[in-house]
Amino acid sequence: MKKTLLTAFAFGVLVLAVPKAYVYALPNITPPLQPAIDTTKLVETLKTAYGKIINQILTVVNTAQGYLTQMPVPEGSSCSVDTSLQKLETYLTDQLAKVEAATTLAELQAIQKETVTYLKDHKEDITNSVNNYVDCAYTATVSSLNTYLTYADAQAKVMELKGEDTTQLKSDISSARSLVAKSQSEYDAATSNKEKNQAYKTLSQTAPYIQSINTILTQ
Amino acid sequence: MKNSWPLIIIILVLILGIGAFAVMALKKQPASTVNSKSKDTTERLEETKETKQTNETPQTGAATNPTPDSLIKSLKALGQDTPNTSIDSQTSSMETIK
Repeated sequence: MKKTLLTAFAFGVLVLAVPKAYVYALPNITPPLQPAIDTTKLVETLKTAYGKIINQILTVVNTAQGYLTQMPVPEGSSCSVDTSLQKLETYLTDQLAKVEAATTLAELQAIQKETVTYLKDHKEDITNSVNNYVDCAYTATVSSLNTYLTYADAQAKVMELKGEDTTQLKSDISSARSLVAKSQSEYDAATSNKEKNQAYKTLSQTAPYIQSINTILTQ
Repeated sequence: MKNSWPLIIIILVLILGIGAFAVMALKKQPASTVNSKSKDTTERLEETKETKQTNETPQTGAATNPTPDSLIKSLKALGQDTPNTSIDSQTSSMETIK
């Protein structure tokens, strides 16, 4: 009887103590409690994130538009901005409105997928629009510059016939012509936009000479 | 004498006709060409200068006569740095957020 009671006690101790000891000894095995996902909060977070990114791209588009708007071409010439910039701006504005109106994760995921696909397909649109316009402005400026320098040459001859000093005028014309030639050479050899930019900058260096020529001719 | 009247009339008509033709031909000729014989080189170059200066006033569509001001503005604009036109990083961010 005593032996039976001892055995039962020992069994009871084992049954109660072992699981307890197991929990203490290996606490990490117990799976952590999963917090409930707040879908509404997640939707709002994603809306904010998508909206921020779309606005950043709109800023790039608007900066490019502003740059082209402020880039004049010489009188008598005209260059036009292609419609792709405007289309991209309209698309992004629409997507922004869709993001704002979205209420579910599924809607947001669909907008995200659609927007990413569109942006990948049109990622060169901004660069191409800017480059095409600046190329046109450059060509028109070179043409006008050559016309003006030819006119300045004729005026120099007139001044010479009248016995006036044309040293400065001729020097300015020569300097401007050299820069035009250098710029055109750089432009023709350019294989990247960076190199074309160098040609634009070289051409822009003729501005002080044109200013000086104009001052002499209008004296 | 009586028989010579028709001949006189024909000759008069011919003279008048040739005169009228000559007047019309002169009118058609540009004034600068007519006067060029009486001008020396300096005067003609001076005239060219005056014409060019008149053309310096802004004219829409006058591709061959750029004003120095518009030319200088275009040149200065070409010297500016082009803005950043890449949207790669934004597209990548949009794709990554899930």
